[in-house]
Amino acid sequence: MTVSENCAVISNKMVSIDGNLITFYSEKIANSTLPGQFVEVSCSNGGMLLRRPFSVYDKNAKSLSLFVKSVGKGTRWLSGLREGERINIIGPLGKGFSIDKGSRSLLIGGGCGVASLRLLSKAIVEAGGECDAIFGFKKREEIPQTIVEDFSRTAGHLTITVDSGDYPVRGNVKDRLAEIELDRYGRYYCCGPTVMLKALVPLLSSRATEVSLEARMACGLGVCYGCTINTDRGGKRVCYDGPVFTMREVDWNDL
Amino acid sequence: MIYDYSVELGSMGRLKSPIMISSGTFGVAKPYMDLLCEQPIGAVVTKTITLNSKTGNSQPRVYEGPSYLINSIGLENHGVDRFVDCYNDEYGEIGFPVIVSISGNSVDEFATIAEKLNTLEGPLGLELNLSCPNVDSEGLAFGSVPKRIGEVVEACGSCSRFPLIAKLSPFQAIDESFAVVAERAGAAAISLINTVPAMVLDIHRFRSAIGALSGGMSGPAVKPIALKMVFEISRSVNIPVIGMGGIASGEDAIEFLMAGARAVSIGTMNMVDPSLPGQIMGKIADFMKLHDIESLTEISRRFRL
Repeated sequence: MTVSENCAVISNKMVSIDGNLITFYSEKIANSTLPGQFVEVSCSNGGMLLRRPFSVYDKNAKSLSLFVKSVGKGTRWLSGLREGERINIIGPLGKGFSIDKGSRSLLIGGGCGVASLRLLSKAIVEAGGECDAIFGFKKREEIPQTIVEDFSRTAGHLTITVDSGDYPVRGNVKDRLAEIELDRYGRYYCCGPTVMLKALVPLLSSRATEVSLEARMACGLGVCYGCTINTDRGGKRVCYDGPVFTMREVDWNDL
Repeated sequence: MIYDYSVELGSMGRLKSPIMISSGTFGVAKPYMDLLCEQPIGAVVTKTITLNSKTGNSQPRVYEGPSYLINSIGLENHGVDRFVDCYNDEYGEIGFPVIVSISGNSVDEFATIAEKLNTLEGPLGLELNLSCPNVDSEGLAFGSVPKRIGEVVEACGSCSRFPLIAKLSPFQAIDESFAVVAERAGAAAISLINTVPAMVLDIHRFRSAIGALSGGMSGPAVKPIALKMVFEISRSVNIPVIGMGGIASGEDAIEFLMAGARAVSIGTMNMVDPSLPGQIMGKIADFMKLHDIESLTEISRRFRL
């Protein structure tokens, strides 16, 4: 059940050059959030009209955390939240990932898209499955170290690749994917910028691949139809029918 | 003292609360219903239904500015036949009275939709979306002349068994003759305002920030404009006026009631905070107690001009 909860900030840590990991006290939302679902965070105290959508990065019985990359006024304001401040959060929202216990999975994340894969990796491992991960970032400074360390505890093999600059592994996630035997994995899960997801379509659309889409949303609750995309079953709301879709069903030419 | 929070909405009867949810911002999506089910809502207005299904406009469909939202959804819906087929499953048990919003590209199209809806048992009335700024007809926004509004209300009235609400755009609401014509043609109520035609550009890409080039603006920024129009129109007609436009608080709602609205409708801000109806109701109750007001209509009677 979706609820509205006033959540106090437990901690707010800068984990990369433009990213913060914010942990909120939450019992109701944290309890019922499934991997790939998201929440809508009120930014009205910061003077913003609309809420901001974030995938739930991690949770335990009494808290949930969000990876907030500062890309605009709302996210910059959220990054400045202090411990103890209370913010209204609505969630959980949307349809999350489906988990296949039987096969080995590969998680592919780009930028802040890695955030939606954390609960998934935990769920895969808890279900007795195994997963590896490939994460891409634009530059070294964007790599959220704490998050990478969290993933290294659940992902079997974690590759980090960086578009440009000083880093041992250079290139994008597609370059890394081209180096591996794709048949090794029974499931692929991708989340990142649309341009990254589009680049992966030729390699992965014929396989069991799920993608979590980012979209500009007004309500996030399935009522305004502001975030509709085209699919092979007609228009679908990213906030309600997604954000997770199969790669095959999405009309990528329209994105 | 016994306080009465109900409102009489002409031939639609009495609503238990003066707070409605505006068209385009209400849907029976489960997350929204989870949040709204306990709220003191007098009636909800469906997303606008058209004769045939519409896929809607291209992305981006929404743009957020300081205190406003511009949207250009393009009336995405599955068409009236599918709406009728699904009505009982979707709206049968939501717990709020339902008003069905309809729009057509011609007088005949409006009438055809209204007639098809006669088979429904539930609705309280139909709201005629005479103004959606995203939809054009022969280059002109449908309903740019008062005569046409009268024709639509009359045509729908002669084939529909439900009371009709004429919903006006800001351009129809700035000139009282549109509301007067709608009343004469048999409308049970007038609602205003629809969104304000608006535009925003993405300068570095040399194009609009809205996929359909322009859209309709809503949110707190339009409230003072809407309030003035509600004030004028409610003095021009004898049928009830439903006031809306950027209502974000109990104080905003009381302003509309004081200006002459019989009921108020919340839209954009209810999507941001679905607990708004309860907050508004609480403020109205406090206000009535503070000023010894027994019924909602007394709020406008106490307005000193």
